[in-house]
Amino acid sequence: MAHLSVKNVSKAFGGAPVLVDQSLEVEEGEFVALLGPSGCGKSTLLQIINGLVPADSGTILLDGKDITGKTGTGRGMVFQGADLFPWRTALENVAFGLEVMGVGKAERLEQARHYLHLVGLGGFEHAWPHQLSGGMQQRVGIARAFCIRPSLLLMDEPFGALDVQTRDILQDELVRIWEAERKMVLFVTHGIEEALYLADRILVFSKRPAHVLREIVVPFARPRQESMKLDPAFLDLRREISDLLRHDIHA
Amino acid sequence: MIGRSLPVNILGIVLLLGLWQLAGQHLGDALLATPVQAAGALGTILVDPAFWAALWRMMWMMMIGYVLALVVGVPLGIAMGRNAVVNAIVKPWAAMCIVISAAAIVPLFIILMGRGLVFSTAIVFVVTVWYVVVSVTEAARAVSLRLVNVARSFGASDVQRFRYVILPALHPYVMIAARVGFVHALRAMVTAEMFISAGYGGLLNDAGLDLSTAPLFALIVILMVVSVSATALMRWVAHRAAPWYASRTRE
Repeated sequence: MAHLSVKNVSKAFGGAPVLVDQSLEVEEGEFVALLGPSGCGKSTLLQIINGLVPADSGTILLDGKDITGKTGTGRGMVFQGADLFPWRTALENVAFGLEVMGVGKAERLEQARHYLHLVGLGGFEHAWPHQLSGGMQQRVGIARAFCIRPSLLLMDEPFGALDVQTRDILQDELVRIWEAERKMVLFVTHGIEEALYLADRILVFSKRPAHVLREIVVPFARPRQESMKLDPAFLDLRREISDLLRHDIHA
Repeated sequence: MIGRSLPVNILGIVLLLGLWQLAGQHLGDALLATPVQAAGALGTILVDPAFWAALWRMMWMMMIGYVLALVVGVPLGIAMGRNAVVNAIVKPWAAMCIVISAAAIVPLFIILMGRGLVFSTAIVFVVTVWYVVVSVTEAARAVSLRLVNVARSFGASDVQRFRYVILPALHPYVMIAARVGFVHALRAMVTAEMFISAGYGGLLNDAGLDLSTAPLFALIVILMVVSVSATALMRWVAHRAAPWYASRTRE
């Protein structure tokens, strides 16, 4: 059983606390959104779980294994700006994680081709990143994270730099891909609608130092449809979260 | 772009040659030989076996110093760009030595090393290596931290990050340093040979004492052709070896 357990993580930058004693649990196949104002520390929490940033204290357990301060092993990360390697074609970018793991060329390229098709980029195998639009680059970034078959997918505001139309399309694509291949997801965002549309559960974070203001279990059935964004229950929840964040900012 | 600029290039060359021809006819060939006279001298030089021997001597001696400068300069530059201690030790020397011109050190090197292969190679090496070191250092320092972090998040080891991120990121800049370094090396070699009146520099010396300036111009034109062809060849190789960079900079 895949399971993520974050226990009592604290982090300060130069004496200023960013995270104080934060814990969270993610169950197998669960999509959890970390929602909060920009700069509140939710991205830092994600990077601590990813191992890129060391925590001052606390432990991270993935499938029962202590992975605190280690990168790799079971986690796939999608970065905000896609951050593709400009010297690798789309296909080679997707295959990167498998190459690091030592998977043979034929095998890893076959896997990469599969995931590139899955994100709708069949035919772009040999394109350079700079030849792709921002939305296409982020599709490659998503395929790169899926290609290592992680048990936990970490997404750091992956659609934050895209225009609204592209973002809507990519949200749908992500839902479609994830529903076909369910894994634990931690999705950092400051978009309330995005969090409600994608997640099973939302952790609403306060301003810095970040702590969870409220945990919201999203009641909508899957597969999710675009039309649910106009559902009265959706709009009520959206307003409720919005009020919650506004009060916190002014508190 | 190239199609449009080529006629303009040719026009510029023709205009300058025309002016040169007029000025040369006015001043006489003892002061300024005309392009037509220089072309005549060029024909004479190209059938002289002594010329080919001198060109060969210059090229092979220069290549030894140049290749040594790359073999030492590229790794040293990478080490300086990626390691603060190495940088702190070498940087002051690099900053001081890069201003040394070949002409300034030739007399000293003649005393130390005589006039043979060691002397020529050493001059070329000393003048070229610092240029390579400084440009590769800057390139190595500018390697994107975000891309290094992407590799880390996929669990890449130090060696893998070097091989999969830092080396490919540096590749186009190393090729540029090699190209410009070649021109530095060639200039240094000619200067060294002029001091010891050997090889191609010796021919330039002799031509300078000639009653007509036509052979001197012919030799200079040949030197230009050598330099331009070598850099064009290296540019072509660079585009082959790093197609992503060529494709990105073309736009």
